[in-house]
Amino acid sequence: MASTVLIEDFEVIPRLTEIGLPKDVCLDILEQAAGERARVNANDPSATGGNEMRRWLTRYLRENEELRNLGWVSCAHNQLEGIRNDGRGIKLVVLNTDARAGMPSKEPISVSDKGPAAVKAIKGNEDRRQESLFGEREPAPDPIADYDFLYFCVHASDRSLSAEVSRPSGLESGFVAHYSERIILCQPGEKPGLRRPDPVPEDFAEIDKPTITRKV
Amino acid sequence: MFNPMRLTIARERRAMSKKGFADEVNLATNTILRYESGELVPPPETIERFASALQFPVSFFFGSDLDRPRRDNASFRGLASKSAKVMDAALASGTMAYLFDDWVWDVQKYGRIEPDLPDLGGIAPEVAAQILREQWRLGDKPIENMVHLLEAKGIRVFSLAENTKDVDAFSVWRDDTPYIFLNRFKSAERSRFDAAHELAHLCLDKHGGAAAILRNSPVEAIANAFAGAFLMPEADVRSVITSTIYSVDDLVIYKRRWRVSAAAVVYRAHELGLIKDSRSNSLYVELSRRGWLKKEPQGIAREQSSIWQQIMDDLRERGITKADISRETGVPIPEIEALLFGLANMLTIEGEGARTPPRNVSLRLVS
Repeated sequence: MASTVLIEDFEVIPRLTEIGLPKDVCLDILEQAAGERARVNANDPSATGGNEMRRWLTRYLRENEELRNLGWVSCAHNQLEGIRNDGRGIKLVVLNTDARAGMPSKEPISVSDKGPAAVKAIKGNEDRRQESLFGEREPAPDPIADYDFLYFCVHASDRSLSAEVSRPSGLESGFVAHYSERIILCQPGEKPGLRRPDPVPEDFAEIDKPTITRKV
Repeated sequence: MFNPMRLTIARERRAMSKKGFADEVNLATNTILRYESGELVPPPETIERFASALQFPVSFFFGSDLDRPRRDNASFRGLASKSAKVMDAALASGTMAYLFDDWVWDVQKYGRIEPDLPDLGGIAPEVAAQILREQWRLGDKPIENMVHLLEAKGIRVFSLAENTKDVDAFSVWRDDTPYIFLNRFKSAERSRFDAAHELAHLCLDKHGGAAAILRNSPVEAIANAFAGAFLMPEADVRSVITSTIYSVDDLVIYKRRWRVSAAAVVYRAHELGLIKDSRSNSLYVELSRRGWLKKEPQGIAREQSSIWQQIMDDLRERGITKADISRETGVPIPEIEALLFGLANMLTIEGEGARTPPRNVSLRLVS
């Protein structure tokens, strides 16, 4: 279980502001990406939905002007595609997870197992946490590798869209499964899912059609 | 007696400049100028050349002065992009419509529908749309057929001819009778929006017209705002769009209710704050990528006139053909067809004047 889970706005908003990720901006980007993700249909290959979510979330995080003004830049360091903030020493990468994203009581699990770069970044998070608890650290030879590593966890389904910004701390069988801090952006059920709206009724105003006759 | 004004109208109807027309009939431009000013009267053989070049009957050039919509009294949708020649051609088709309209109501004595159109000048477009809906007792429900509604409220609706298809629509008050001319070459959804846009001009700029538009371009934006609010009332939109519009596929579902274009739904939802700026931009990009800004997905059927169809049916029953109308009004048959294009089925009064003689047909039973 994560050591810290931030759920309510009074705790979420200040924390997100502190790390330079305003909540409204994050939600806006999430909706934009969901719009792109919604174009995927049953005839696309099975992994397309997740790929599209990752692709568009990453793109919109990189293109967002407010985030740029807050110091975020595009980053592909160590093959981990995302954004980083040099002033704050943070790197953020999109992670598709199961339906537990945004659930305060359960930790989200990534939908795919992670490669060595992600494993190393997550291990770095834990090393830094331990070191900060037990004393001074030596500066790392690669400063970016030493950034705090965060995931923008997202889950999109027909029924719901949920997301959180979380600091991964451990894996299970190669899947990201544990976090030292979780900041909930939206819980399941808060935002509508990707399912098409139901057909709307065609119900028209009554208009009397005029009848034309000759005055003879 | 030759009427120079009628020559000008016929030339403008064909979207010809004086020089282009002069070249067409092998005369000097100055001579045409003098004919049109009434300084010179053309000889009969010249009038025949005019008739042939302009495709008007010779009889058209004789007769009384014609009522014609003035450019400063008409509201053109997207006025700035229209050339004067095209606008004059559209206005000249207005003259044809007046001739036909007068013949229908004054000569044939069909019962007129008195206009029920308040002057809403100076009122904010959203409010004006609501007031008009209340006056017409429409509530907040969508309008199934804009042409039927306009006709029921005494507005004359005509089509624009093909040589003016660059004009989206225009409207004009002729004394106390409102007229709307619609481009029937556009999608049915866009034509409905144009109709609502022109309705805005008739209500909001009754005393302004094109002159006001030239001076003050926001008038077009105001007419668009009115059209959006009239076709998609805020209360109805808010009650129907209750979830986030993620995809343009969602728009297809919504557009069916209000019978507008997918782009109009995005615009209205954005205007009402149901879609954020960034989402609205990406929806437009996707609409464009799919070609849906040019060709509507799941397009609706084109709206037809109720009034003109009834009149056409009655004329047919009384044995009156297009040729009869043309002869009595001086309006060429293609012009009559163009005015009612897509609004009424004119095949019912097909014919060049000669009646088809009745023929005995022998029927036999096929077992």
